[in-house]
Formats: sequence, C-alpha cells, structure tokens
Amino acid sequence: MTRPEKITAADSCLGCASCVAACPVSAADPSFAGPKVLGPAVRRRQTGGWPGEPPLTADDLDALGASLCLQCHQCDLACPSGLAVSAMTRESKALAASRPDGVWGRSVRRLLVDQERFGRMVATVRVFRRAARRLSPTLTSAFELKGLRVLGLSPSRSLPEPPARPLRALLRAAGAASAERQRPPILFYAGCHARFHAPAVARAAVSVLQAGGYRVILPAQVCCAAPALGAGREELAARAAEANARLLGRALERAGAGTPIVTPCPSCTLALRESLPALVASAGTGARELAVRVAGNVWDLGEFLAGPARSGLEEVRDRVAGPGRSRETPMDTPAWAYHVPCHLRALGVGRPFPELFAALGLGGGVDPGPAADGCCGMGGLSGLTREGFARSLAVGAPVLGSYGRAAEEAGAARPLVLLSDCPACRWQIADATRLATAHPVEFIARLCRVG
Amino acid sequence: MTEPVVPAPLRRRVHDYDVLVVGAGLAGLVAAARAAAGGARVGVVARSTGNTSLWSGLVSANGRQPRRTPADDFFVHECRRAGIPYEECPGPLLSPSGQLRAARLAPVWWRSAAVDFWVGARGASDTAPRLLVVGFTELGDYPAPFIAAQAEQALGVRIAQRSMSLGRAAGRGLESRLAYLFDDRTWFTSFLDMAGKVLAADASPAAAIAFPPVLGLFEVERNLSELTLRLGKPAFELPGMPPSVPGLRFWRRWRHALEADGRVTFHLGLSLNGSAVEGGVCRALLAGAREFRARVFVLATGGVAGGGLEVRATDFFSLAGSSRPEAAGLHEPILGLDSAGDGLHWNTWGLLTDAQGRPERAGQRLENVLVAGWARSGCERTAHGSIQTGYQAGEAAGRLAQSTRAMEASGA
Repeated sequence: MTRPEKITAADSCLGCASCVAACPVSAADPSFAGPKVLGPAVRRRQTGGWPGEPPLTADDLDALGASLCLQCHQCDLACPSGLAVSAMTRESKALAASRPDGVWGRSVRRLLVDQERFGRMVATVRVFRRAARRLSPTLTSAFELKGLRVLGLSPSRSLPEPPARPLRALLRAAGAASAERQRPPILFYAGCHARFHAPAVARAAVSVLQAGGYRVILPAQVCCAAPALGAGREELAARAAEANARLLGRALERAGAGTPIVTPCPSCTLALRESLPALVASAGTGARELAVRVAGNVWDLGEFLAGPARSGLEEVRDRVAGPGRSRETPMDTPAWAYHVPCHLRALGVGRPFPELFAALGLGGGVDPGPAADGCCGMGGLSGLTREGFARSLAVGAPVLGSYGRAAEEAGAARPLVLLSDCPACRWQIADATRLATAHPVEFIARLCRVG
Repeated sequence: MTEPVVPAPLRRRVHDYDVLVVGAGLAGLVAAARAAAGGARVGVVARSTGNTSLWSGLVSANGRQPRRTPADDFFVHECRRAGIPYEECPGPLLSPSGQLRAARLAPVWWRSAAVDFWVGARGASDTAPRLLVVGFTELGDYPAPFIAAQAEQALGVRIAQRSMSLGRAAGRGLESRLAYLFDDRTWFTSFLDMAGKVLAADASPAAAIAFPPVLGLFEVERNLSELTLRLGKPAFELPGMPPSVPGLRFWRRWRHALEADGRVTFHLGLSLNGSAVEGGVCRALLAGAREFRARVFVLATGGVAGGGLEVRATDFFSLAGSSRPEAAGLHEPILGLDSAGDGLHWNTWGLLTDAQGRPERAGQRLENVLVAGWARSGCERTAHGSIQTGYQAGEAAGRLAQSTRAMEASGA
C-alpha cells in the first residue's frame, strides 16, 4: 500500500508549532512570523478564508516577513504530520516577491538571483581581475568593495579569489575527457559555485570519481535555480528547470539511461531532485516525464561516493596506504570538523561523508557539540546582502559560536579545518570564525593521492 | 581492480542496516540506542522529532512509582552520555497548572523542583511564601498568577508570584526565541542583572524560585546555577506547555550523541509509504525511491497524534460509537498491521502485539518486526511506557539481528 510521500494539504496542520520550534529564523528574528503562519495558515487563508475576508496581498506577506525565510527545510523535518511546510512558505515568498520594485533595485536583485547570468559576467572578467589583483591588491579590493556596495552586498563579506583557470580547462588537465570509453559514465553537475567561482572543488570531485573507476562527463548545464527559489522568483526558477531538464535529459540519452547525475552541492541536489519535476509540471507531459527521469538519476556527491563508489575508493586507499599497512590517517592531515548543510539534512540521506571518512580510516575529527547541528544562517545568498549579513550572523549564532569555540580549543598547534559540502555554509563559517574551510571531497582527494 | 559499482537504471537507493528503527521520538531513540549498544548497525528513519517537542521533559508513570528497571538504568546512563543527566525524582513536582505531579526521572538541574524540598523548608514565620513563581509577560502560555493560585490551593501554603518583561528582544515570546536569548551569554548577563533587581524583594522570603521552562536550549544548567547564586535561593524550571524546550533539549542532545560517534545513522524528513513482506518476514520498508532493508525492524511511530496510526472515522459520532478499533477504521499505514484495543478506552488503542512486542498482519505474526512506544496497544501512554517498550524492543532487535547474521553466515 502506498501514500503520497509528503502531505501538502494545509488542513493536516495540527498547529502544534513544532515547525516554529525548529525554525532558526524564528528563534533569531522576532519580526519573522514563522513557518506555521507563513506556511499552512496563509495557505488556508488564501484558499478559503471567512466570508468577507479577502486573501492576503503581497504587502501583507512582506509585512509578515515572508522574505526572511531561508528555505532551510528544518520545518519540514520537524513536522509530525509530514507536511511540506517550506513549500507552502515558498508560495508566500513568491507572492511577497512580486511587489513592484524600483527599476534599479529590480535589476540589481535579479542579477544576484540569476546566478547563471552573474556567474558568466564574473567569468568574462576573470583574467582582468587576476591581473588587477597582481598589479595593485589594495586598489583592486577598494574597487571590488565599491562594486559590492553598488550591488547591495555587504562589504563585510570576503570575496572568493578569481580562479586561475576556468572549469573546463581544469577538468581537461585532470584528464576527464581522455578516460577510457569502457568505464561507466557519470554526468557531473558542477553547480554555479564550482563552475564560476571555485573550480578546485569540482576538480577534486572529478579526480575522486575517476579514481573510483568512472568516466566523468561535464554536460551542458545551467544554474539549478536554488537562489531564485530562495528569493521567490518562480518564473526564473521554472525557466532554469526547463533548460536543465532539456540539457540533462539529452546528456542522459547519449550517456545511457540510469547514468548517475552527481553534484557536489546539496542545494543543487535538492533543487534538481525535488523542485525540478515540480517546476516543469505545467510544461506538458513529455517535458514532465523527462524532468522526472532526470530527477530520478540525481545523486549527491557524498551519497554516491559513500554508496556505489565506496568499494572502489576503499581499494584506492588500500593501494595508497601500502601493503600490510592499515588505513592510518596520514601525518599531515589537519584536524577537521564536519558541518551538515541544512539541505543535506533535508535530503534524508544521513551523513555520507563522515561515514566515508570512517570507512577510509580518516581520523582527526572533532565533535563541535550539539549546538552545531543547525543552520549556519547564510541561507544561500541571503546572507550576502547588507540587510542580510547581520541577520545571518544572528540566525547562525549557536552554530557559529560552536565552531568558534572549537577553533579556540584546537589552538594554533593543530589548526582546525571546517568541512562542508555547501559553499554558502563554508563562506559563512569562514567569515564568522576565520577557520579554513574545504569541501570534504578535497580531503578524500588528498587521502587517495589524486587531483 | 574490481569493476566499479554502477547503480542499475532507476534502481531504488538502498540503505542496509541490522536494525532499522522507524520513528525518532522517545521510544525510537531509546530502541536505537539499545540496539546499537548490543553491537548492531542501526538506522533511524523518521519524519520528525516525534512527540518529544511536546514532551515536558519529565519521565512519569501516571503517578505510579514502579520499581526501577534495567531500562531506567540504561536511560539514565545514555542521558549522562548525551550530556543531559537525568536522575530519580526525590518526590512529586509542580505541574504547569500548579497541581502536584509524581515523576520518576527528571533532569538533575530540576532537583530543587521537588515540592518536599521547598514546602518542607521552614522560614522565620509560617506565613512566608514557600515558592516564588516567576513569569515572563511575553510568554503568554505561562500565567504565573494562575499557577501560583492553583499551587496554593493544592499545597495549602503561600505561593508568591511576579511577572517580569524580557524587553523588545523577546518579540512575540515564542519559546524557541526565548531559549535562543537565554543561550546568548551577553543577553543572559543583562537578564541576570535585571532579575537581580526585579526579583530581589520577592525572592528573599521564599525558599525557592520557579522559572518558565525556557532558560536556554544548551545553557540551562549554567543559567540556573547563576540565577541561584545571584538570587540566593535555589532556582529551577516548572514544566510547561508545548512546544516544549525541555523536550527539545533532550532530542537535540540524544540525536547528536548517537550520530556523532557513528552509533546510529539518521534519515530524517522521510515518510515511509510502502513495504516488502515475504511469508512473515519483512524484507524492506520503502520511502518513495528509497529502500530501507534490515534484518530487524522496530516500529516506534507513535499513536494517532504522532502519525503512526490513522483513523478513518470521519466524525466524532462514528468514532464515539465504535467499541473496537477496527470499527473506527484505525489502521497502520506502513505495514497494515492489526490493531487492538480495550473497548471505549481509547488510550489502549494501538497495534496488537505479543509480550515481546511482535505484531500481526492479517492474523499472521511478523517474525522480524517489533513495536515500541505509543503505537503499541499494551504501552502506557507516558514517557515511562515509551522508555520501557523502546528498551525492550531495542534489546530484542539487537539479539535477533545477531542471530540472523549468524544464521546467514553459517547458511552461506
């Protein structure tokens, strides 16, 4: 017997407020009405209030703080009735975001929310930025700070270094294209952060996948639209979803049905798995079926490496450790703490990377305590804006405080590295605690002596 | 090198465990911890925190005081390990409505909450208030005047009360918002100063001070000892209304402790919606495109409010008129297990099991499934009941998984 996986009818809401208790924004910001109100309560009002009670307007929802929801999905994980509370709140966000903006505000926010366009713009000036930094670091940072202000971003944020080489060139150097044809293929969905701002993570991921015996293909792809969804821009998200369904669908046809589509960012995994089919729903049955097929093949990188690829990686590790030696932790491995991104928790796959670390014999893990099991506060791109910066630190205070304390305890003798799959979490924790950060796959790459 | 593993097209994602626990409430967590303690590889699939976010944090047995069991010992041991030490209650406590409440186990920082502790204390004069009940004006669900008046009637001694405002930072007074503030050292220091001034006069004649149960998610023990020091009287929390911060404290600490050292893997936010059963043995449970295989399954899915059991009766009258669970359409949605219940005593309605906790499905016993917690017909609807049945199921599951593994090894 089967039942629908997630119950969306607002009438199943008991009003128990477990979602509110789990919501990191409600705890930190008293002006946020909370998931119970913005989700099921608003949905009930919009679909049938009392006679003479009009539906809520975009302004009403904005006054309730709809834009403050980070779409972290912790409300979904807390609901005893299994409601998709965050999906209902997303509708409220979309309505609130439809308020008319000044022309300038609209174009600037759209730029940030459209990471595909923003990323491509940043990529075109990559070489120029690197040269400018070499010529005059001070002038360049002053100029970039000015640019941040113009875009409405907080000047307190650090900016990622412009990459030395674009992604495709890096992957070519890693030998991605030249891998033997008979190896089983993997479609690598890199994500905007890896494609435009930090391709080293993608390089490490591809090297590890190759070491595991796979042939990695980088298909044509566009932004998964998680930032657009987080900002309530449903039409932009729908366009991106349709494009990805088409591009990845075509790549699937060429590589073979069932080819895993692996992505290193849990937000991309969640967007491709859950939002992609839902957003393409209106585009006709053919497109919908394609989207469902694509979504069904999406794997989170950790999930894949700890799952199907595990035995291959264990063999590589044994080879590297040498005959007769157990899988000891290499001497030069720093102490590490692993932060679970909210979207990884929402995927319900457990904690694949720590599991894989244990299987590969990587010690040195530090337990930051139960207060770190929460939201870092960044909310994707929400924490980058001027208004969002301080709020993100407040939302993430319990988590950031835990890592700050862990960093102090580790001391200078054995510096702590913060590992997390999500680039936004890494950015937030680095800015708040000054800890060095890395994607866990980079540790795996080092451990297996690849990439 | 062996061939790399390629997942078959659209094959279900498979997770494999010795013991799979369904439900992460009190019974589920205790069962998972006990099975892991027996050496099994344990996974937990759950929608949410179960009823723990509605739990006062007290372990009680409907006023009874049964003898201490190995389950109690295990629970106390695991609580200490998780950093949230529980101990036996020296006596009854005050409930959120100001009545007497017998509890068996409580967090150690509520030691001074025992009524005998502060009612028994003799002040300079008999008319001195025994207790000061402090309320926060922003926290609407915790009316200090009402609690104090009820307690006076129940205990026959004077109880003082004082409400204080926490300021604009408290916002609408959400419990989680207040707990967040109390975890903030800077904010707490200013609260301590304010409390020292506002409560000094009322605190001095009283023997103890009761606060609402929102004094931090992680810093409660430290906060209470600092309040005790500042005010000069033992400070504790009174259990309150849900959403319950003490319940969340328990859940956050236990989940973290079980997960951090790899004893249990959690898959949260999943609703199971199918099963694969062959001849009395459950092979797997399904959640969409995900398959959870295990040697033994523990169902700790909760009662009707917890979502583990559903009732098809669509109106009160058809429910009230049903003297048997089946007539009301009580059913269990994952495996379709048989239900049982004692007439109109709805508190006894749940899944039919034998003494070990094994359920039946259309009259056939399932060999490798155990039911724990409020889903089970024979389980007392208290935290005590959840812990006892969770422990029993976890212990049996661990043993059964071990013997199954041994049989597989010799058979293969």
